[in-house]
Amino acid sequence: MKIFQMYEADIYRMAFVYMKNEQDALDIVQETAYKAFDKIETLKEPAYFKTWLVKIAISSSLNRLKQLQRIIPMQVDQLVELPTIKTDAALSLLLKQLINELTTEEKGIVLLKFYEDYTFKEIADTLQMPLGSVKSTLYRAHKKLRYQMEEVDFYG
Amino acid sequence: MDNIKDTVKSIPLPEGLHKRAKMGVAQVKKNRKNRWIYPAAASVFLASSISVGATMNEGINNLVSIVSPELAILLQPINRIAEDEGVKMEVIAAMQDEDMAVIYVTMQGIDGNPIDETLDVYDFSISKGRSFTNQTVHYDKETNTATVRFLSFGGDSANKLKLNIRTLLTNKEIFEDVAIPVDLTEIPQQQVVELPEDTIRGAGGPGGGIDTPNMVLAAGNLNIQTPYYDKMKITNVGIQDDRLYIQTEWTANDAIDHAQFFLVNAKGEKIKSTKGISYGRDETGAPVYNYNYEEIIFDVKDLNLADYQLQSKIYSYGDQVNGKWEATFKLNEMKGRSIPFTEDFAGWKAEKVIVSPLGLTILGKGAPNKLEDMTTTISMDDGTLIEMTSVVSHSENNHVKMKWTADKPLETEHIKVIYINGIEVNL
Repeated sequence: MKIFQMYEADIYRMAFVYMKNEQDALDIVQETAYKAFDKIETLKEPAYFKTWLVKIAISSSLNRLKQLQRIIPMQVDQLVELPTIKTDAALSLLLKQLINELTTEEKGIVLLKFYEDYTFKEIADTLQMPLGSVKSTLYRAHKKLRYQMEEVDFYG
Repeated sequence: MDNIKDTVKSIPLPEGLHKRAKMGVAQVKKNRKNRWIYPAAASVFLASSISVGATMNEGINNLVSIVSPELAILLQPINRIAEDEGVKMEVIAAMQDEDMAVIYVTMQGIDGNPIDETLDVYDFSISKGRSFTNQTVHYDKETNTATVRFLSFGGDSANKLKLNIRTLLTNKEIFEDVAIPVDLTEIPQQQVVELPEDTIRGAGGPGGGIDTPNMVLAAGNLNIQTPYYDKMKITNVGIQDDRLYIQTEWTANDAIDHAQFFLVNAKGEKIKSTKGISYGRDETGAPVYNYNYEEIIFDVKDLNLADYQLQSKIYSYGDQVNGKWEATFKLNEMKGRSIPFTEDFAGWKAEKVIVSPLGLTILGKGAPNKLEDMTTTISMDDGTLIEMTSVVSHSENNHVKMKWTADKPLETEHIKVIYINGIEVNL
């Protein structure tokens, strides 16, 4: 349990970017903990525990989003419940862009690249996407996030 | 890059975060304890086969007898089989246009496994689409086979579909207005105690969710049951601080059966419970993480309990089968006729209409905020009018996709005019 505790904040924040509200993000944290410990014996290399959790959290978020759409045809904007952030306006604006303007695919890549510091190869492996698609999707996401960003190393 | 990291880190952490992670872990412990509930899967037989020739097999012949001739002619035979947990799934036939898919599947219980006319495909997914429904449209008692129709809406073009079924519920019964023989005039005052957080599966109701104190009676030894349903019994009742606590024990212990409780007076007026707490107790009555208890709480302030009776509405599923039934199959897409249609509606602007045998799709930009006022009617060459009676709308990233369907397929080559809110769209 302690090992999960080390990562629960990261899992929650990633889930929040996908789910856009606290309750659903907490559901994802619970589901990720459940799935991780339910299948813990299948994890052959403990060093990859966090990578494994991140993968479970992303896949759980995508499944949950699909389920939500199954229950009620919805408008994405109706679900946005941004938290009150007591930081500067630029961060707040960027968070809104991240949550509202990126597709789920773009969110996954941006989170893994910039929040989890994955290499493109690691992102491709985690999301089971071709390397080229990871780069092009990140480029697209980058264009959407209208803020001053340093040059991205697309060969990382 | 650092500002993205800072941005994500700025998302505040809620107080209940660690508790929810703990609940996930506790759930594993609980499920491991109860895996015996489901049919043992010592060696899962999972078969999958493809019929390349698309010959008319028995399944499609039977299906044709169930659906209308207009529909049958559009269906493409599939014949894909998957078998698990003593239930054989066969994808019999399917059809799709650009954004909607219809799949007919038979689920047959073999070796005495439970499939009946109340079959509810509880957990499933389809690779195409954003919203889904399913309905058991036919049941053949002789072969123990249910035919289920799946509908998928809001999808994008795909020449291959995947259907994935995980949980089946059968033997469903609903017991309404069931009187629970509790004498409400003699409810004792009792102390309540707060449940340990890690024993609570869930809590909800207007009286507060899991974050408000979850107070329950001590484990009781009453044995009050209704003759109509023997998997639930009242084990304790008590009053504390103007609240009536009803402690229920669920012997089915699978979290699928459930009930709503009411206090009902002679006029038939119903008072709903204000809170329900789902939790568990072990053999000694000590709270543990499980599904086998639910505490029902009513606010009874200013209420004369002598005027009321405790009643419930019980939802019972006799059998739950968890398994893996998957089929991937190629499916031709029926091409629709696309017609430009520019019109402003509440919150969105239509750009084009596509009409296919499955229905009418209106595509546009924006976010519809009022669907109930929209009407769509199709006038055919022979003067008949077809009213589109059902609509499913999706709006994402400012793109609107709205599917209208009628009670039968459309003969697109015989459509003369489409009326959308009275506006004429000529083909």
